[in-house]
Amino acid sequence: MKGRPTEDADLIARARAGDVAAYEDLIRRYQDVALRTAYLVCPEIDADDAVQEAFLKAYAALPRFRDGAPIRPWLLRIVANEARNRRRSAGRRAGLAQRAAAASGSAVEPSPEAQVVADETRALLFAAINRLRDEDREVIGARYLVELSEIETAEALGIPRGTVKSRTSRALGRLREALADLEGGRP
Amino acid sequence: MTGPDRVRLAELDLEVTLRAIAPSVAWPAAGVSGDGRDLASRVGAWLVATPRPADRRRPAWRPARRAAILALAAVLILAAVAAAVAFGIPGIRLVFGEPPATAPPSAAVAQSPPPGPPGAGLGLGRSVPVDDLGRQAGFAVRLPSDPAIGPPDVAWLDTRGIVTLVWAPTTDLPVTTDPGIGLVMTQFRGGIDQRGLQKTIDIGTDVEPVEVGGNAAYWLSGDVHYFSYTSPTGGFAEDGARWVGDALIWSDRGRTFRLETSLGRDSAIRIAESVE
Repeated sequence: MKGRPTEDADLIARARAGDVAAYEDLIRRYQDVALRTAYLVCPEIDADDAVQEAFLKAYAALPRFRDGAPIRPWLLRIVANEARNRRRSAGRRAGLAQRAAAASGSAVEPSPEAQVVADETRALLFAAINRLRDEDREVIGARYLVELSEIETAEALGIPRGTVKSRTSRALGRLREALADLEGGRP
Repeated sequence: MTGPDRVRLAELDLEVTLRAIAPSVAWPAAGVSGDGRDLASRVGAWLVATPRPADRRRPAWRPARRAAILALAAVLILAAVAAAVAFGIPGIRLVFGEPPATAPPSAAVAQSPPPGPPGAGLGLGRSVPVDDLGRQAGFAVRLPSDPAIGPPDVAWLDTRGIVTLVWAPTTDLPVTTDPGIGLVMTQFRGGIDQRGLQKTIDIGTDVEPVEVGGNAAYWLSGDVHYFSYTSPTGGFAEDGARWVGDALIWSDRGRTFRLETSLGRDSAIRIAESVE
C-alpha cells in the first residue's frame, strides 16, 4: 500500500484532536495526487477549488475514518466525488490537455519517459483518450496517468475492486479503437 | 515521422505508452495563491477561522461545537436549495455531512442498547400500539409481509405523522448500527414536500439507484450518512433527524419509505417488496 501508514496515523490522530497543522501536513502529502484525480475526473473544473472543498469535507468526516485503514484511497474517493459533483454543472467538455512544453516539444525539456513517445503519437493518444466516455477515461487515467493502485482506483471511482481490471481492459480496447479511427483519418 | 508513428501506434504497448505520457498531461499544480499560501495552508486557515469540529465524535453531542456544525449545516442546506435535484421520491432530502445542531443524539454509536424499547431515545415520537397505529397516524400503515420479519416490536409516531416501526435484533435481523435495533422502517404520506427536494453531498456515501416493485428507489451505503425529512410546511426543519447506516428509500402508492438494515441491499429490497 502506498503512503506511510504509521506517520499518517499519527497525523490523523492529531488532526482529529484539532491539530490543524497536522492536517495541513497530511494534505501536503496527498494534494498532488488529489489534484490529479480531480483533474482526471473533470478537467473542466477548477481542480484547486474542488480539492480544497474535498479536504474540508474530509476533515469534517475524519472522526468516521476507520482507524488503521489507508487514508489515501479514502481521501481520493472524497476528491473524486467532489469533482464528479461539479462535473454535472461544468458545461462543455474540454478533455485532458497536454502540457504546453510537451506539446511544443521545445520550450521545456520533457521528461526522459515522455521523450520515448514521439510528439505526434502523444497528440494522437491525448485525442483518443479525450474521445472516450468519462467512465473509460477515468479508469485508464487513474491506472496509467495518475498511477493509482487497483484498490485506490476502485475507491476513487466508487466501483468494486474486482471491476477495475475488467473495466480497464474494456477501456483499453476502446482506446485502441479510438486510436485506429484517428490513425485512419490521418493524412 | 508519420510512417514510423503509424507502425508504432499499431504495435505499441498501450499500458507502457500511457505511463510514458503521464508527465505530459497538463496536471494542475498545488500552487501558492497571491497571499503566499499553498492549498494546505488555505484549508488550514479556513479550519482555524471556524470553530474546530475535531472533538465532534459521536455520541458526544457537545453544545460548544454547535456553532461550527450549524454553520456547516447551513451551507449544506443552502447547497440543497440551490441544487434542488428531484429524484422522484417526494418529501426527502439527503444530506451527507455533519448533522445540524438540532439533531437529537443518535444511538448509532452507543456501546449498548439504550434503556427502553427499541428506538427509544432516537426522537422518533411516542410509542403507539401497532394495532392502533393506522387510526392514530391517520393513514393505513403498511407492514412487511415476510414471515421471517414478523410484526414490529415497537411503533413510533411523531408529531408530523411520520411512523417508524422498529424490530429488535433476531437471528434473521442482525443488529444495525444501533445496538438494540435489527430493522427500522419509516413511512409517511408522500407529498410532505412536493418539490421532492434532495441533495447529495458526498463524503463517501454511495447512492445507488435501484427499484422496489418497479418504483424508483435508492440504496445508500458506505460511510454513515445523515438523513432528514423536510418539514410538513416545506421548510428545512431538521428535527427528527439522525444518523443511520445502510438504508433503502423508496416511494409506493402515496407513501415514502425508508428501511434500515445491516442485511445488505438485496435483502433490503426483498423486505421492501414484501410491504403491503
